Amino acid sequence: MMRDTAIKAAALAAILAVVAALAFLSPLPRDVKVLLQNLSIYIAIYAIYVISLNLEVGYLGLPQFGKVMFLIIGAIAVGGIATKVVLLIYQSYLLKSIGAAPLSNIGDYCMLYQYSAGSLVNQQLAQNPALGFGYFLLGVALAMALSAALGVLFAYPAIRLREDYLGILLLVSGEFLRVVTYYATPVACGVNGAVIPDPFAWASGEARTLVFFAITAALLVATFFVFDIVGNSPFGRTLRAIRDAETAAAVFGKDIVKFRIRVLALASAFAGLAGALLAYYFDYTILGAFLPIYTFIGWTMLILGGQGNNVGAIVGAAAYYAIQTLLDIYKNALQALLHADPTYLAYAVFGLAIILVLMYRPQGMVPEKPVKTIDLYTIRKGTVDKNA
Amino acid sequence: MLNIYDFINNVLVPAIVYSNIYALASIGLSMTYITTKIPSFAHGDLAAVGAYAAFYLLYFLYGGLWPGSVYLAMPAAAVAGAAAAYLSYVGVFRPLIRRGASITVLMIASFGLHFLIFGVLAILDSIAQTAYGWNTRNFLLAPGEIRIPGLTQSQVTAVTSTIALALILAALYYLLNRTKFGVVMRASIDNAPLAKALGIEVERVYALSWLVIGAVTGISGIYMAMIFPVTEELGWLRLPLIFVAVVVGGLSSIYGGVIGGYIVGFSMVLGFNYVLNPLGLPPEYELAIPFAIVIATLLLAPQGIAGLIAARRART
Amino acid sequence: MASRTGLIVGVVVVVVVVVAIAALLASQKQAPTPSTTTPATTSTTAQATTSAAATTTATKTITIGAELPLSGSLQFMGTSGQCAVKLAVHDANQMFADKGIRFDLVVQDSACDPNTALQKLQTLYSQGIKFVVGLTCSSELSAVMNFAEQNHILITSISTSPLLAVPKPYIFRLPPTDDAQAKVLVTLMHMLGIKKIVIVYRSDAWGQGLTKAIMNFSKVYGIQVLGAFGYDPSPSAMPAAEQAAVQKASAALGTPSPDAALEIVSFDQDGAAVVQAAMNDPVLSKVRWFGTDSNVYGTAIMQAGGQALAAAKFMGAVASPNPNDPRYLEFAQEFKQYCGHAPTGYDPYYYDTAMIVLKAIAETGSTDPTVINSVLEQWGSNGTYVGATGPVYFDQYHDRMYASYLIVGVAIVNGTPTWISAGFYNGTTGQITVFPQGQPLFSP
Repeated sequence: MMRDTAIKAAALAAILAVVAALAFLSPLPRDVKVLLQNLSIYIAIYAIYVISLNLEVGYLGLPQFGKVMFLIIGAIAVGGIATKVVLLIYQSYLLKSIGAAPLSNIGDYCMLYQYSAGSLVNQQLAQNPALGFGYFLLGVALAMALSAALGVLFAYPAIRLREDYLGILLLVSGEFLRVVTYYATPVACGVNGAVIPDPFAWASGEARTLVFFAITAALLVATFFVFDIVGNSPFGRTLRAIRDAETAAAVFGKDIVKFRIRVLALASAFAGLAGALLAYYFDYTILGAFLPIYTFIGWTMLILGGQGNNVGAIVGAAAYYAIQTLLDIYKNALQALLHADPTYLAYAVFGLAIILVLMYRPQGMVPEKPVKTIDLYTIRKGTVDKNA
Repeated sequence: MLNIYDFINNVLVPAIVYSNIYALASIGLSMTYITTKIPSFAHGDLAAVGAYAAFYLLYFLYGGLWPGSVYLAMPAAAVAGAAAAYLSYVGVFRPLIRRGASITVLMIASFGLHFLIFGVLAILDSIAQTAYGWNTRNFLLAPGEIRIPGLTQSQVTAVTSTIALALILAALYYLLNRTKFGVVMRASIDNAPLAKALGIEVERVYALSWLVIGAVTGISGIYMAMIFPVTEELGWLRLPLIFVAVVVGGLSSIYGGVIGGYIVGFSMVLGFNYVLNPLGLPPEYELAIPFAIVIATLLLAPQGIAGLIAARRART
Repeated sequence: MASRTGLIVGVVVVVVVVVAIAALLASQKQAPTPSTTTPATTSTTAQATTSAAATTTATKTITIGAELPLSGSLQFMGTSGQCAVKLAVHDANQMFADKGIRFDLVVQDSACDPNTALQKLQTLYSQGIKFVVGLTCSSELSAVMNFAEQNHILITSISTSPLLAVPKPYIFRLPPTDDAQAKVLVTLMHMLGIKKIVIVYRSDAWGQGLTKAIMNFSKVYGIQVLGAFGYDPSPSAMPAAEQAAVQKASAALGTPSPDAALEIVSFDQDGAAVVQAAMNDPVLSKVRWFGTDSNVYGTAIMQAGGQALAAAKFMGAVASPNPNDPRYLEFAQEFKQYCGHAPTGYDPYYYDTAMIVLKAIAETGSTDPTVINSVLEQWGSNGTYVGATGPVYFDQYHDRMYASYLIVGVAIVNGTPTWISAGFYNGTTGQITVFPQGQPLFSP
């Protein structure tokens, strides 16, 4: 079973290597390669996000409609905390160069000289790859830790509330977090958004993209490995049991509360990881942008791919971006058929595409497979037989 | 300096207007949830369809808005909303339900439906704008509200929206409790398998109830359009708060949504005036207030307000 | 091993998708571009298509991209701006038809979301588009800056945030930064003998930046800022926020006096709510009001309280050429005819973001962004390009500078409140000239 997961993870790594070869080394035109490079980074980051959502939704049946919260936490960890740590490290240098210490007056820093400070810090980080990497790890670790903590916080309502109420509670909490952190300037420079120093400033141009892709891909494989092990372990079986028959699972002595807490911590941590990666990728973050639509996008990817299995999560992320990118590229050709504003036509077709996929594959592109290991029923039957 | 006139104008009137808007929008979503169990993300778009239907009717017939004209256009909003809702059910949700789609699949389908309706509306608006030179976005329907001498625009809207809500509630009550359709519909909601066994065509009942959902939501779009600038996202942007209203009211009853709407409307305005201002918090946090109230409500009363009422009734 | 099939399906889907995109794009690239005769704009530009097609057989088609907020909180700017950009392409196709150049436009919706903006820019780039116009939000510009520089994509934007006044190769901003506007507004206030002001502002990057700039310049002239009050401009919020901000401003001002004023840092639609609240306020309705380049000429604000605006001698400043120059008025007329409504706020800037690039391409015959970049730098130092917003000069950061402003106010003309040109601020001298029809607005 462990072997099975290892094979799948290796296959995933192989696919990512092929994608990397195609996107970075192939003789395709440069602009096409640039699209493929960046598209594969988005897909990899969102795959992590959706895999973590899958654990909550697909395995536990938790109506996680506040997923975007963890992208916000990731953005805060990177743009709000790790960035300030780096600014602190270079404080005396910045004081000498610009004549102001960023942290002494956050408001002025955010509104006046973020970019000057950011490019100076990048020049310094370019000469110190080790520090850059440490800063990257700091952001990622913070994002995961804070997200896990926030996730656990929701364990309490998750036990008390009925499914639909819980979903709305999570949705609303996401909006609450967004509004509150967005308008609090010290968190991540509020309405101006936070400029994030580049941890890989030593690499430039395509090399930087390659480094970022390699790291994201490695993290995706690791995430896949962890979640697949969890999903197919006795732990994962218990989760499915809780999802399908909560009372029965409780009767069989499963501590539902403990399981929920663990799931929430694990899934939230990895969603936070995705948030941190997004922030580092863009070198910039603005918390107001994290509207609930980011949650819905994650769900759409999950349902398109097929919930309850991690392969489906990755396929869903890829399919979502494929549909969207193809529409963006070919919408003007579409417009030739139907004389209408191409941008809005693309929206309509996108919506239609989602509906059609669901119509013909209501279980998603990669449907959930029956549990591979001996399931509870068989085990129980076995014990019953033995007793008899 | 508690000035009663100020209180009425700055607190009571806006609170009533918002409450009525969210209540009207919530009725439809509650019904959607009760009948077909879909927390529909495309619900807000039905309101946008209604608002645009009224706008286009008036512009095509009269070339503009004049006081009182929105009431002439209200049937158009109801019909357009009903048509959009009916098509959503028959074209998207019913086939999916027949194929055994789960709630989450239906929800994501409604997300796709949102993009579809949004896109189609936006295309129509772009065409109308270039073809007729009308400003098809970012307008208000407020100039079409009736005028009552001595009353401000918002005071009039507070009165008319309250009347509209009352009439719609009365009509719904009559429909559900005094007609055969209502009995059949309640039976289908309470126990669909049993209703089926008794020979009720549950799907037909649902299709009809979607007509009602669309009509009510289309009318809610008109009131939204009097306060919020109309774009194709008129309803979509308000959807989180509509969901909040429905849930706070308790998902089990149509009338719960009305209570929820009032809680949302009043909590926004009161929270704004009596929580944010005295605490010296920046007004940007206004949206955080209803959200905080919902979070608190759900933690303290997990079944919503209607649940609380039901529980009390059960106890006595 | 049941999930084997799932795995295989997954692998196949991912690989097919990647290969399909690559192959389609590569094939598209090899196909000769002139074969695309599809008009990129809606049916209204059919006229341009036919005229361009008629003139020459060997037309060279150049596709430029536009990224605009066509959904989300700034949709109202984006849809109007899209029309202005289309109009520029339409005009350019008429102007340069004899040169055998035809411009096509591909529009993407960036939704004012930095993540989306970068992703759409990458998609545009993969289609071989090297010129992207109309970027609106400063957050979008922040997110795409590095990518544009690395891949040599020329971007023109209407962002005005002073924060982005940093070296930014390949990026040009057509409106002056808000520092310039703040200076004009404060000069105007000083001229009118204003000693103390309160500010009501929309709390986004633009509103906060401009407010901060106004507060800074106020110190220079010894104008006291008694308070600045923000409101959440997001459309999901309720319009009551504007009202509350106005109430606070009223309380901060205390009593009306001739040397007091209200500064309304808003756009058109939210400005209407501010005006409605301020005209019913016992204090603020008795002082002068000032606006910004984004709410003067507004239709909603005029509809909401034209009489009150005239009574408060409402004035704001719009970056503009000498008012005797008919270019802006010509643009406004053409825009109204083409788009169905009068231009507001940034529409002339949107027009220029596209036109300056189209003109540079047509006149140099080059589609190399690096060449166009240096052409724009050169034009920017000489003021060669004169557009709907006047002669364009760029500073070392590619930001618009040396801006002259038209002072626009509201006066009663034939019984109806109307936008009038009240005066002119000369960017080089820093002097304000009052026009005859503007005299009443400048009188105490």
